[in-house]
Amino acid sequence: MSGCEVDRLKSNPLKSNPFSTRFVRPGAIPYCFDPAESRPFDVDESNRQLDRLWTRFEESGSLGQIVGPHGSGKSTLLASLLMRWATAGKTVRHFVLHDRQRRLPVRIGRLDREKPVDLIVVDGFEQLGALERLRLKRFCRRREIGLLVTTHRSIGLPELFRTSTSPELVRTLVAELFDRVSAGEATGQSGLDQEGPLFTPEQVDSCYTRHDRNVRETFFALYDLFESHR
Amino acid sequence: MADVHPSVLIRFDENGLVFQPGETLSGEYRVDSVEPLQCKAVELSVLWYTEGKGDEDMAVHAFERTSEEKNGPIDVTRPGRFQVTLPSSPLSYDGHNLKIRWCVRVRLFPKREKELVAQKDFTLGAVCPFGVDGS
Amino acid sequence: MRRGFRLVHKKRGHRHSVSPMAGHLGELVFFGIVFLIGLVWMAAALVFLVTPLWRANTRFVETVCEIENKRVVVTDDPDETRFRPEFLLRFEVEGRSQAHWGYSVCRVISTNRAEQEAILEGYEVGQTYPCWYDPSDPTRVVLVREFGWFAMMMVLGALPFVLIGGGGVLFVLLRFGKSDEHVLATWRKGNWDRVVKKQAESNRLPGVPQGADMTNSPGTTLAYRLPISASPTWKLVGILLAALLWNAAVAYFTTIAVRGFLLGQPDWWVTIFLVPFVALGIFFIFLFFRQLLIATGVGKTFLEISDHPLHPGQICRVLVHQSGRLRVRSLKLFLVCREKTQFREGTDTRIETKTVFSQEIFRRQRFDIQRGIPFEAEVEMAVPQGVMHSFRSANNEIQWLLVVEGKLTRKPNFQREFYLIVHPEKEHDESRGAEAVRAEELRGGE
Repeated sequence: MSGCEVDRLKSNPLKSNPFSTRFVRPGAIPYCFDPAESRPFDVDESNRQLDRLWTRFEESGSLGQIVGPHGSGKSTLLASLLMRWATAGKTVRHFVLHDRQRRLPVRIGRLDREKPVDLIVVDGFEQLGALERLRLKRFCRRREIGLLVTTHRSIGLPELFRTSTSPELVRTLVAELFDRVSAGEATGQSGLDQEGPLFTPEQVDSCYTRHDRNVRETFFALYDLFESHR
Repeated sequence: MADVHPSVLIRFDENGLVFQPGETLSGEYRVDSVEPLQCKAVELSVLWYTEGKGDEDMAVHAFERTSEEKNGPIDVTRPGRFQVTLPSSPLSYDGHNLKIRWCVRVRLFPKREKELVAQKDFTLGAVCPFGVDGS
Repeated sequence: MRRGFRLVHKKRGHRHSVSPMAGHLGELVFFGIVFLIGLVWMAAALVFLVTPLWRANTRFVETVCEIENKRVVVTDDPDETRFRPEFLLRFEVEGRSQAHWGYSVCRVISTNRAEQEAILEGYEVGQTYPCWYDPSDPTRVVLVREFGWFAMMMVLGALPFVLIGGGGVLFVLLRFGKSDEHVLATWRKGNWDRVVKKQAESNRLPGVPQGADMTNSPGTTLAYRLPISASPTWKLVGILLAALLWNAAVAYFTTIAVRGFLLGQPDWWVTIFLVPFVALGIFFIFLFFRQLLIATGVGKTFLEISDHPLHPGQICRVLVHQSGRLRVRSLKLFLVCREKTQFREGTDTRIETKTVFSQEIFRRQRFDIQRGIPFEAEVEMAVPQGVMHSFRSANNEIQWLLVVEGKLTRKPNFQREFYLIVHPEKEHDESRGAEAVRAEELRGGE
């Protein structure tokens, strides 16, 4: 199985559920820029896209935001960017904020006290209070530290990328997940039963629509669907 | 064309895959490499991890690290042996939202290449899965 | 998974403060101020309104007085002019004639002069009327003794401040020095965390919750009494507080609206605005009585068990005890296994619970439970062979429970859960011996 087409998904028994959190969390699967591509997860093409984003980020004064709705891949894109930039030797301080977290866990003034920092990344930037956001922007500007954030709605920083989802993207991701898990289990683990579909592209699309185009929620629903077929 | 990338193979004695609490898990690991591989360290762990809808948890039951500094040069042409007594819990579990898996994981740290990781799962215990209808 | 509306917001992360100490102190100051405002307000209402009213209604001496004069007292404030009626009353105290101004202990004040003059019109100069005077201070004399609705509303109005402020201070003090996870876990998981205390780090059974406290409570019939997972009493207290606070605030504003109508000056905007709040207040009251019925009318449910912890394939005895005055349509006992997983990603934390096993162990239908004669039944329970043991790690859990489900006539249905610990099979012999000895020791001490 390859490409963006999901004609008939493999049935059980895959030992692992491809929609387990270890396979779908940010960083586990690379960000898919264009599901219409013949090889949407090609490493070289992905790296080219990420490098283009880095160039745009630097051109905008090392300030940027990744904007998109819930479950549209912001954290996944961020994880891909960070993995790419880590190879370039950048020192990054990365914060993941959850709901009701109005301040960073570290005092802004102390962010670069232990060692110099090239980039501060805040996942969930809009959670911070307005004053905290302002202080952080000022701090980064004064210290010439890059600031990259993810947010559900624009908060005034230069827009680096806007994430979005589509039924095609979800089908591509589902196919990729199955490929990865079945490839991983092929090393001495159980084989695949070719008889009968597990679920159809229409079911995937239906899940996606039912969950308001939220890919994360779609994956949780597909997890349950996969388990129900065991 | 043969794969030139080195790999690590793990094998359990008697080719078993299912073990009971208190039993001895023994086996060997072997590095398959076309070119001679020089390693600065090898780590072997026996661990369990969770998989499913929740964040993953893991715990290491047994861990052994062999390094050039402490143990002298590492000869990867010879298979490495391991033997460990398995604990009483947690047992392997294949649930709905949660699965608990056991594995042996070998991590190789070559001097001039990226680290190699290999993992071989096994089942601890004989837990019967619950039915779909909750029975 | 699509989610419906949730009354209680799911956990969505934890708050991080730069300085937890400063945060706690700030909260303490805030709640302290609210509490003080409430206290001062309540004290003023009690001292200046309620106490005089009470004295007037209970301590004042009744006599007969003659009205010598009457007037409307005008008080000019910067923003408005206020009026109150007063009468010069002549009466006798221990044979001596006295004349003092007075009318009501509440010192009824209004901005409506006509209203106050109407009160004056109700009394004739030179006529005699019953009156009441303070025996400790005869200069305080009243012509009317009424129940001070206004006074009570003032006291009730202060109540939310006292409760919220006091509750907040207590809450901050209780969580001083504790991490957010500790606090959240204590509040959210109820008795389970107190019973289990911490993830088992025992070398004997890694990953299996210890549950040492579960065998600290001996049963009267069987070896152990199981702790309930969440007490209905705390739920009742919570709903009561919510009902009180909400309805106190609503009552205060409702009084203002009603007074406007009585004075012929209705405020329709306030009235319309109050309607949904009053509706919610009524709903809280309904919830409270429903929970009261469950907590008190339903009576105590407890379970005793002959062995603990359990292991797969084990047969044990369970005693079900249900008290109250109930007409039972059905009473059932289930052995249940649940998976509980927690996942945090981005700004979301999701906790999912899935029942993976449920087996009915006991059922009784259509019977009555009399007050003072609780229902008891002892049944045999078999933990199925080969099932998974209890498990607990940082983000994942496998829980075993006994669930009592009651369907009643003319009362709300109820469900009560009791946690169990199931060990892996192999450990059974080692651990059971030790637990049996402990159970004997505990019962021997009674």
